Amino acid sequence: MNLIIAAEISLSRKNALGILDFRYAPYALGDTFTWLTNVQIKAHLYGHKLIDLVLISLPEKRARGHQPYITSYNQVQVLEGLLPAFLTCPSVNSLRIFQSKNKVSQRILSAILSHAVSWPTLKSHFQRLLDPASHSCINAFYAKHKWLPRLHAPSGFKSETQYFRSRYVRQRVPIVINIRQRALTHDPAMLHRDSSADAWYDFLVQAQRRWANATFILVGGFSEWERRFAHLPNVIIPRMFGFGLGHELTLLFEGAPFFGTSSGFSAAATFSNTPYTITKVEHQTAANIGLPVGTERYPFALDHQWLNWENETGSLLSDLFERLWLATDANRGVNAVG
Amino acid sequence: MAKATVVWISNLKLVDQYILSYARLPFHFLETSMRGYWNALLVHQRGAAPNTLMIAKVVSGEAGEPERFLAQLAVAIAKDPDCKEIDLLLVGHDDFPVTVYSAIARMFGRRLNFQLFWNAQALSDVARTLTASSVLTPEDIHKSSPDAVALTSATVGTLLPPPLSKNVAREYLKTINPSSYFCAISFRCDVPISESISALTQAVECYPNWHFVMLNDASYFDSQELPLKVHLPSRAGFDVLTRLCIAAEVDAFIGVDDIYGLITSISGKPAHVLTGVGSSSAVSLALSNVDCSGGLPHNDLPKYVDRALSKLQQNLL
Repeated sequence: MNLIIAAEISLSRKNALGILDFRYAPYALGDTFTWLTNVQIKAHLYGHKLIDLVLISLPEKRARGHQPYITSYNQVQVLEGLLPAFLTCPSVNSLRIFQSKNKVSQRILSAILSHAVSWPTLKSHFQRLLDPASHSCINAFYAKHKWLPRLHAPSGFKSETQYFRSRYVRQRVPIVINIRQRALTHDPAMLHRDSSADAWYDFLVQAQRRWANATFILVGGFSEWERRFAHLPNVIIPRMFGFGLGHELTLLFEGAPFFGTSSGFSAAATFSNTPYTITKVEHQTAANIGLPVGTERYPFALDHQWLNWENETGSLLSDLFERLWLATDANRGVNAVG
Repeated sequence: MAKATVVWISNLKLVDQYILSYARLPFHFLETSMRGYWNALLVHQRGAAPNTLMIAKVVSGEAGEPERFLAQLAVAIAKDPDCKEIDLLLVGHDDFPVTVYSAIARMFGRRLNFQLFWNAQALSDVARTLTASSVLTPEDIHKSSPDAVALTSATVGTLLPPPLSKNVAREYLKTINPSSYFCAISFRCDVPISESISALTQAVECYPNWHFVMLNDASYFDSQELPLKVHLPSRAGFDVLTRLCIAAEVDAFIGVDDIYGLITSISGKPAHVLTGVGSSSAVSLALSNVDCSGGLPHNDLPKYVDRALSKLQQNLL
């Protein structure tokens, strides 16, 4: 047998394989975290300690149907923008992002020949079948094992995030917030999932008095906030200071409580140990996540992790945040005593 | 109506899942197998994949490392201008974002196969599947030559920035002033802020045709302290890739030999580069469009910037 194939097969036998092929999977932050959790579960189920992640992003292929705006013109920027999210999976041996069809085919061929464990399965990959947002395997794993492999802060951003904390957050309590505002961007998709900017603004104005010690770190795309948010003294926007997704995810995974709309960042919180309240959970996603509308927690959620399915108003956000604040305040107390 | 649409979409999904997906299965299986075997055969016969530049690197977080990587890539592309792909193999670092390396590699416009590992052995194992000639050992990977990489005139013109970032960079400058000249500035972060601001204030006052863009993070500056006509693209939400494109788009550069200074230099634009500081040991510049100077005495920055701008102004006239 060809020595190159033999070397590939020997590699493929060692680790579980995660395949994310953007010819049929979406370029989406939230789906990335769900996919990473599914890959970890698959690896755990088959006793593999390490994971090889393979991403396929071919410039000549348009993204799948519901992302027609991603073309060879902007594909590099979309992929670069997502890259830090793929660094949040512990126990990864390699992350390989292929733009060459032949080279990735060599890698997948070796997986076929070595009967490698993969997510999605090789059959599903060839069928182009992947439900990227589905929680069915995750819920089933949790139901059986009563724990879930969690994601962690992306490697490489810790020192710069520490600098951000010391320069901008100082002694205040950082709360990571994300307000879905895709209507403000160049790729407005699923606008019914957007939050009310007015409701969030009202909440943040009230928060200045009610939670004077809190600083709200507004994360997400640079175009996804109205200018009035930048004027609020209790709001810091990391992307106004040269920081990016990697730093925002580091803050979140290092434990800064998350409070925000059901969207990409909320999926990061979902698979973290970080306290959170996710607002405006889309009713249509109930089937995907295997829960009835109105359920207060994911089955695998920790004590301080909540969901809310209502449309946001200033007073609803204040009530939800009060609960999150008290829960995390208690944790801070416990930590301080400990 | 909405209900009918939902039913229609779910029917389409069922058709796809139970009929079309099974039609795709053998086609994609065969295509992948044949392409994979063909690629392995080529690597086996020729020693490496055709038209591919392979670069392996251990990220150590040391000063000057991204600059050295950029220079190595520019030199390699200059030697092999027809190469179509870059295989970039990196061993990551806990304290330095690998996204900087990815952005640098994207500036050369080739297909990028970005491969990240968490130890040198994993990289070495994968390298065996990419080349049949000289396999990198973990020791080779950790070894780095102490010699500076020389950027010569052959590297000018090797850049081929991604189209969207390039367009965004150009439009950013146009929205500031479409008819102005732009000079990128990178100062050392340990220069006292008062000295930097004094240099910038003097530049803005004496050279009214110019705007100045600070491309490094410049997080030590409070943007309100800066004079008008000095801009901080990092505060406008631009990532490293777009800022590299701005460096390629500006009319000139003054400052240290960081990644932005090197990009302006190999774009063929006039650059006044301070060597002997920061990353100087990593890269040597032998380009006719670049004027190199050694380290500056204390408080000499305003004079240096003034001299450099004076020369740039003369060249324009």
